[in-house]
Amino acid sequence: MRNAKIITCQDHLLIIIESTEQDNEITCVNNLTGKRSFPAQTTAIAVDGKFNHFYEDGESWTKHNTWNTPRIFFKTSNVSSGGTSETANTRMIAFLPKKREVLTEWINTVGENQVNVAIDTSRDSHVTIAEGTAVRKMDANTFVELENSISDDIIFQ
Amino acid sequence: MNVYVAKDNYSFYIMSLFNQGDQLTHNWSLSKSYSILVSKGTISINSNSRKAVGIFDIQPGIQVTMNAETEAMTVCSFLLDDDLMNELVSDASTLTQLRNSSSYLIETEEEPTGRMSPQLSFDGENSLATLSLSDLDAKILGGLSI
Repeated sequence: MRNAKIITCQDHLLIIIESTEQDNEITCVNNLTGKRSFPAQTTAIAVDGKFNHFYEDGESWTKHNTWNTPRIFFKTSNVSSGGTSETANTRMIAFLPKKREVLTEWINTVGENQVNVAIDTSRDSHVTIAEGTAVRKMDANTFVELENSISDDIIFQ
Repeated sequence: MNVYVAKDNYSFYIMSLFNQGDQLTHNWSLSKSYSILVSKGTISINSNSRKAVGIFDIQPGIQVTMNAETEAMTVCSFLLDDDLMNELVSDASTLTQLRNSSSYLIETEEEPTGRMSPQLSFDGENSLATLSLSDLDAKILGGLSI
């Protein structure tokens, strides 16, 4: 199973994706474009387990490596990046600063209303912007989907 | 236990990695609340047990003691341009360098989609430690040279 949640904390919006079994995709897909790129430079941590990392190479994906955790990543904007869980418990957490100029870049992924809610939320309240559960099994070497997802990975409130 | 600092263009991060039984104290407090994200394991924060993934708010004026009930990792994230950074980094010159630097404050290697740190280690400093503001300054200054 793959669980996803987007929640506000004091100064940041957190995107949390965790897999409880092997071979689930642990990257975040833009629901409108289908792209797996970060629309703005993004910092994320990988904690627990091991994961496979892929990068887009023309029409296909190339496996970069299998990494153990924890690690911190600084992702370049608009460069497609894929990941699958190599072990049962794998977790990724991305930190988006609650800055309009940054979150505006995420509107196509997170949603305009959700971005506005995130920015307007007081620092002492934690608002769940979206959450959902799905299965998205991917081949651990080719990053090709093995079976159809049960539902969209993010269900907006 | 190990404490790492990192930054990007907008944010400053304090990442604490605990072995089971480790204890870390922040012997400082801030004038506004801040979050401790428990990203791995289970940890007691000021005697409140929190399991990953969990967010614990530290209220203004409160110091923090964390006791790891399992191997655990916490992250505190701050906005670089927030005035809280003036409280975290007391030396104005260090803070200016921090805000203007392109350093990530942590070793990274290039990968096809950005940059990535080596695997962070849970084994390092004492199992009973205090992170003071001067310790934080020293870690930032060390990171700025990377």
